[in-house]
Amino acid sequence: MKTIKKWYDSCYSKSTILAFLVLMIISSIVFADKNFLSSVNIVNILLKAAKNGGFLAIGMTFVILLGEIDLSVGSVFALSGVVMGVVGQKNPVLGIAAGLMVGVISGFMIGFMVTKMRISSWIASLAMMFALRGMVSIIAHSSVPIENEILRFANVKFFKGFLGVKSGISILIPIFFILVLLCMYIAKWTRFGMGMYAVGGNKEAARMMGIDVDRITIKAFVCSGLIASLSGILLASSSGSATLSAGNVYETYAIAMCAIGAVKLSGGEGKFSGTFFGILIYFVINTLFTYLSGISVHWQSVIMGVLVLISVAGQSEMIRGHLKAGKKIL
Amino acid sequence: MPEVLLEIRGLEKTFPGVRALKGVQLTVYKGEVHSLMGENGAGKSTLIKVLTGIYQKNGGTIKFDGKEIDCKTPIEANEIGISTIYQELNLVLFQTVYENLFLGREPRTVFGAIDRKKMIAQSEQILNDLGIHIDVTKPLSSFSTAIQQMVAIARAVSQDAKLVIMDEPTSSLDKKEVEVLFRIIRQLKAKGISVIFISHKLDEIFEIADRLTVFKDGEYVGDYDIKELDQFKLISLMVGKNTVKLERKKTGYKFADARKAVEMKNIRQGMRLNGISIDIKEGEILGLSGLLGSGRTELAQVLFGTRRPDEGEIFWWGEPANIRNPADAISKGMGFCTEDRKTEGIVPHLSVKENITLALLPKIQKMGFVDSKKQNEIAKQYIERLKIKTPSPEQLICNLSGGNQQKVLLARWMCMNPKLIILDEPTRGIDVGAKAEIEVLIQELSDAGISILMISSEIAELERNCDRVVVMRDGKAVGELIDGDINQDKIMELIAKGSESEEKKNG
Amino acid sequence: MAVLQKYSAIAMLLFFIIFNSIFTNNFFAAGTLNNIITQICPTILCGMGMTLVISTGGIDISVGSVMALAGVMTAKNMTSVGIIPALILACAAAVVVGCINGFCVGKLRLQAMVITLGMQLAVRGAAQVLCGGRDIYFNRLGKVGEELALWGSYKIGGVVPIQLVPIIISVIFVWILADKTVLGRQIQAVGDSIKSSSLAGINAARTLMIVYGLSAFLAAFAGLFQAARVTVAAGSSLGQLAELDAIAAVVIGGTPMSGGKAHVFGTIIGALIMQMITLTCVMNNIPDEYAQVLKAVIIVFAVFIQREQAK
Repeated sequence: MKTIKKWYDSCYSKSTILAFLVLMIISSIVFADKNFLSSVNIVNILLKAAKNGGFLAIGMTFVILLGEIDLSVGSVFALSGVVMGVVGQKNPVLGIAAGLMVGVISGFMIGFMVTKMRISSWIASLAMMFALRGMVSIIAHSSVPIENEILRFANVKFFKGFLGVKSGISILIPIFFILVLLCMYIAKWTRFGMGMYAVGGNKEAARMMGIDVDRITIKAFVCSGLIASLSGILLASSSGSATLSAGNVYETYAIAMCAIGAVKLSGGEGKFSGTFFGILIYFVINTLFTYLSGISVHWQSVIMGVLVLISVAGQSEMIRGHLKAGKKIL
Repeated sequence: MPEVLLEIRGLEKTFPGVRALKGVQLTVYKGEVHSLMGENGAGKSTLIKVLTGIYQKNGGTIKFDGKEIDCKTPIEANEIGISTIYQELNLVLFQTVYENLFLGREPRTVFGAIDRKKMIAQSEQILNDLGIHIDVTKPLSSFSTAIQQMVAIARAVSQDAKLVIMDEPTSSLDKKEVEVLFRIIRQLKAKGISVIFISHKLDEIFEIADRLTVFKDGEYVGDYDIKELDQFKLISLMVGKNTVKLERKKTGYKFADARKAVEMKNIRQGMRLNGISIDIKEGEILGLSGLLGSGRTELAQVLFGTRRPDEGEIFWWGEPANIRNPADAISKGMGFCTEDRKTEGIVPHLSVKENITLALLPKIQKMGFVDSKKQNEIAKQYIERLKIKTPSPEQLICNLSGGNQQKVLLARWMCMNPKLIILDEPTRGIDVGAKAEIEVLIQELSDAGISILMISSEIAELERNCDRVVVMRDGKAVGELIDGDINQDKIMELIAKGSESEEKKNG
Repeated sequence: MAVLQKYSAIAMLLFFIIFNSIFTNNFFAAGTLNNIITQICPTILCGMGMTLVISTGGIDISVGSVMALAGVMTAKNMTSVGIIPALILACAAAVVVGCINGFCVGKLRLQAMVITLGMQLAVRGAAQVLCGGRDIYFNRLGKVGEELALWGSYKIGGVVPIQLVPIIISVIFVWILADKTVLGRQIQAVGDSIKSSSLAGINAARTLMIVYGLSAFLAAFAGLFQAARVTVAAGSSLGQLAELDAIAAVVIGGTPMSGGKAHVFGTIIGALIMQMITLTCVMNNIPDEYAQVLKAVIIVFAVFIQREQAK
């Protein structure tokens, strides 16, 4: 118990974790009859997260930690799947590589525009979003079927029947976990990770301390792009087709998940674990709506928006200051 | 004779239109605390910026540790052993103490991961050496400004800095924290590290500095051993006796029975205002004197509503004034020409006309529309009356010279028919001709019954223009001079005496 | 370089007109112009509000969702209360949304991008909730539905599309506001230097609330006209990505992202350029996808040029 408390205290994203726990407890009580806490359901939630933008939020965390933004992830998500499908018809391995390159190249280009041409990341990634979405339709006119066995590498399921999950656990879930852990490692144990926090926290100071700000910025955008394309490939690979409209407006959801995960949108503060819980909150709420047959599913978009507003308001120095002062008076 | 560490000779720096450094010199010995003294615009910060590679010099030589250097970037300066602790700290507040100490040069384990254990251990070591005992794994933002500064110093020391430059390190520290800082500076000295220490608090200079160099208006005045000087002498060196014949423009103090326009009672605010009370009478020009950091500007800000006082009362023509923001102050009839014209005065990309009428617009509107006829008239009238040199009222104000910008700002308040105008350093950075014009204007305003609160570092200016001068030091009023009594020597005496009286109180 | 910066947008527009007059058949047909007018309407309406928002140094990415909300609210309510009351209701809701944005940005000092992003999500959701996840087809709404559809298809004198009316009104309104009124001057002053403006007694928070409120108000009309044109109010797709078109138009038109200047007519040129790209591609049988790529390149180019200008 003590270690748990210590761990909790050390968490930056306390409010997110707390919100997550409260959400889980309430929903497990209210929806006990729907087997909310059943393993099938939990696996389902995780699968949804891994398929629909959870990866993108993790990638987005890199750029948001820098105080930048990447609106192109949704387009990268779609394009990489399509590229993999098209190129993969000739050479599957090359297809996968080409799919991944989509994210790397677009990330690099955004990073280049932001650092060397000094265009704001909103505009640079917005342009990239337009351009890549256009490329998707240029390359393919309808969904690309993915049939090659190698290309279906992500269609692996294991532990069939384990914990009562009959269909087995998709490989996407462990990949998702590995990715989160890897990013947490990068953030904490590499120079790049430390530099990232420094640049996001105080760009000028970071520069004065001899950190190559441009290099770190470009790297972060490449990470975001790479993860987005990985996600696009995994989805196409596991579902057997790359759809043109995949990932539409996912960038908004990804930013929302980061915001809910207490990643400071002006940069410098936040954790990948926070984003992880932000993603979970998002998809738990998403699942809850499937239970509430009487209520429109679209309420969840409203709730997400309000959650973003609340978490951003919570990040405001002014409001924080007022709360602190208020405590003192009381 | 101790060894010379830094030797600057004939250093020149010009900005478009301004010669900021006019062949200055500076010599710093190894292991000494050297203070740079001078009022605003003396060239201290320009000198530091040239030294640390933020600006490039236009002439002269800098010799550091026996070699001639010419740093192009701060990083370069850092590498050869010149570390600067800026007022706005160059640290990342969200990150932990030890991360800040090692950013950019993290030790790594054999596996390539950064070695946090080693960083923590070494950080504790470094800080313990300086006598600081804190939890280095906490984010820097959870510590006081003083500790943050110590961390910045520790970072410099751990990088084998030979020269540590501290630009106003004590401005936001309380007494105890200053003591800790001084203890650390002495430790640096003991290690043979030189310190350039810039502060406006004279007591601190006399406590910590070994030697000092005085600058004035971009020129070298001289360097002195601290033992040769007392506070009065230092102040007169910094302020400089004005050799131009002084002509008081006003004589005969006739405000003794005038109504009080403003009465501020026992105002306290943060660390800068420590219970000051002043009043301003109708039509009077009240000067506020004191060195930088004495709380002059803060007092004006409290009056104008940009700063909320922690304590104290303000009365406006005898009524309690509830001023929560500048709009309140303006509606009561105040105007404020701030010290920093560029960011707190002009709206750079609007025209001269727009800038003049910015505050007036709501009063000359017709159903929400700008009454452009009236606007043009007023703009024209004030451009003529104040002799604002601009090709047309439509010229963008950012293209005007400093003096003309200041006149535009004066016009902005004059056209409001104010009862009180606050002028913070109204003639700073303005050429002699425009200066004289502005001073004449101030007299005219006062003759028209408008009260003026004039803040200036230039004592001669106060002597020429003011009916009454209040001298501030450490957020308190330490003296007051009226009419004929106002002269440079007396003002400087009061500034210097302020510290002695305080010492007596504390001692 | 300075000349290039100043006239880059106009030059680009001229280039497209000349290019099309040579290579595109029927370019100078009346139908082309009508097409442009009907299609450009939402971009211009949102763009006008966005010009003001960006001139304060902010951004409003909730306009697309506000379009949807207004379209759906009008379509939903008009069967019971009539078109005009439904429209007023929708505008009121939009203005409330905008004022919340302005309050958060001006008073609470939160980042405009993020606040309006949250609002984008929330309002889009609200629009979808309102229409119950189903698109509201006007032809199923009876007489009022037909009436509202006329707002999208009516041609004045049988020639000029009705969309010209809101375009002209909004442009003149915003131009007068920005150039001739006290508020307009204050908006620019706040965008140029928020510190100086507050010290000159301008209530920056109030000014920003008005600007964001106005942006949402114009977006509501954009939503209405767009819905009328396609004769369906779809909570999910109405106004999707409209904010990006509007931002692009403003930026190409020369209003700097850093604020302080509002180029109302530049935004029109920007919107025209965007529309020209689409049109050029459509009329030459180039798939729309290429138009998107081209648009992206032009946005980057325009911002890159203005970045030099800002220096």
